[in-house]
Amino acid sequence: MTIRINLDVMLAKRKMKSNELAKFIGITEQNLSILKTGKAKAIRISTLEMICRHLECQPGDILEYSEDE
Amino acid sequence: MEKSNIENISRIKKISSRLRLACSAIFYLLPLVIISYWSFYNELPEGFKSGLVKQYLKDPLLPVVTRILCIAVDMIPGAIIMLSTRYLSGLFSLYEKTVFFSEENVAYIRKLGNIVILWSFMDILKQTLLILAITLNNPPGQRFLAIGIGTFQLSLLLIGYIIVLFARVMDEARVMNDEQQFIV
Repeated sequence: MTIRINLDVMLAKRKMKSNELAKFIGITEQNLSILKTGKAKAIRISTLEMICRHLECQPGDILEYSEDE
Repeated sequence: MEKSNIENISRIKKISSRLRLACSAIFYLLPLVIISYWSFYNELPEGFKSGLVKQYLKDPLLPVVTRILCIAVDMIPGAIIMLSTRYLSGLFSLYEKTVFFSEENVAYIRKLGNIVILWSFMDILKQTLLILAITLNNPPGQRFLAIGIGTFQLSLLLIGYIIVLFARVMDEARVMNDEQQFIV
């Protein structure tokens, strides 16, 4: 995958647990896990907005383009 | 989930359950109806008798051997209808479990389409064999073998192709549904 999800890194920086974030943004822990593990095929703008709001970060902090497979 | 959505799902489950039971009933009743129909053919009221018999036989009473042959011939499309009720039961059973877009659903719909197409051909064969069966006891030179295609068979063929197309559309819906699982 060329788009890397750095949600784990941001969660660690903000010292927040996955289940807390899932609760804040109103998605299931299972869906957040899909996002964290890079299995997601798409992310809704509204989900990204909520993540950025609660982690006080920019979309670029969560999503990173990488040349590597 | 919205209230109307929950109500809709509940309605689908209820209707599917009834239809599954109806399909199961047809599965078991159809052979009984076919056997009873031909077994008691000579005692049936005029309105229930086969048009083919009236058309090809002067004597409307059928001997036992002919009636046994008619049962065997009538069971050709009968078996296909029974198989299609099995597929429908499977499909409705999935709907009862709120499984709408799985590979199993697509497989059932595709099988159903194919079996309806087969039914149209088997119905042509049935007509041909039925005419042969009811005229088999006629003296030589008065036995018939006729092949005919009617609107019923053509309609079945068309419906079968529509169901196969529907299965392909459902397969696309399944792919979209699978992808939807990974949209966060």
